[in-house]
Amino acid sequence: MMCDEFGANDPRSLAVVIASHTSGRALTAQQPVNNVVRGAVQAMALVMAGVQAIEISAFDEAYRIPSAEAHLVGLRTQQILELETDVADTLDPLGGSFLIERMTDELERGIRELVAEIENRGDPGAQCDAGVFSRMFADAMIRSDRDLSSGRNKQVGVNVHRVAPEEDRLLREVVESRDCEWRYRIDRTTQYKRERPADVIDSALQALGIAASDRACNLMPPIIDAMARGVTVGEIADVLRASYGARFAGGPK
Amino acid sequence: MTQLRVVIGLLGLDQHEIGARIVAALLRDAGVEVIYAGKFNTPEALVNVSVQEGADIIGISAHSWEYLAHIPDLLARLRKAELATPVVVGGSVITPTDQQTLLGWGVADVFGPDTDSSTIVPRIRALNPSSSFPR
Repeated sequence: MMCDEFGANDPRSLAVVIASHTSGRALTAQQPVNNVVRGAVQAMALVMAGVQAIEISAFDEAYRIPSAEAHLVGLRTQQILELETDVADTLDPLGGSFLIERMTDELERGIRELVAEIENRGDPGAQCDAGVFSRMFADAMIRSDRDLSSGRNKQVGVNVHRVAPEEDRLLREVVESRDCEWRYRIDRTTQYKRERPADVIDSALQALGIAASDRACNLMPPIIDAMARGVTVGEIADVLRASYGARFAGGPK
Repeated sequence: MTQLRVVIGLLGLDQHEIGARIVAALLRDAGVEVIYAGKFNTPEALVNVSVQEGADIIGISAHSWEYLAHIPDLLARLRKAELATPVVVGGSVITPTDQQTLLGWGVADVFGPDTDSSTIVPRIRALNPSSSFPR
């Protein structure tokens, strides 16, 4: 595709580099310890697929911004795969398995069909603005939720092999603990804003506002200048929202 | 019987919209009129939307802890405006303890990660707007 369609010449442009993250959607709030197992199984599959970079979703992700402890478990899982198995030493551990190759072909065919369908519909930018992609994504999520509620798809601890909430205690403490980071952030930002010279900030924001009202103007220089004077990201976003409206903030229009 | 009107939205910077969309679709399929307010709402904005749209129920989707700071604000604004619109909160991050906290604040119903999605519509229909005035 890179060669035929986009005319790539440099061999580096032809190389597939895949960085991957295990699925957060597979993680459950129920029996959180099972998420450690899910991370390991998915990471193993990624290694066998030959991806270049892996990050394992933290087991407490269903409930919270991942804790340091859960991140460490993800890292250790990768290290176990790397050092205690030989799976990463082989280029293609599955050795062209018929089953995997056939499934890959099916996936590829599906992808090509969908890409052709999107291209036939015209400008992808316009489709994006019209909410086509976000609807596609939401429809898939709704479908997956229905398959789960109907029992067509099974998820351990969710619609099969459930335990009573009072028995579901393992790792609960970690997944439900909170460090209320935002309170500290609010205090810090308030304090920071108090200590700045107001006139310098006001003039930087004003300059940005004037630049933003001119649609042809490059906003980078006034943004960099505003940052250098101590303006916060939030204040810059406020000015841009006031000028452009918050159209990125809704769903599809 | 007039059609039930439900405002669905997310508060603050929470951008995990899928749950809200799924619940909106469930409600729509069940014949409920959904006013979808989307993400990045302030409590004030959601109260305004529900007033302007004459909503019977406000549904908040919460997939970030921020809701713990925004819900009391939302309830206070409803009280101040003397509105009895029941507020329901649903989301994956809601622990059993949070569930009790929310109900204690005056939230009419809470849907945590354990909720069977087929029970959501009947539970929302069962809310009686006049009996659930937020305390």
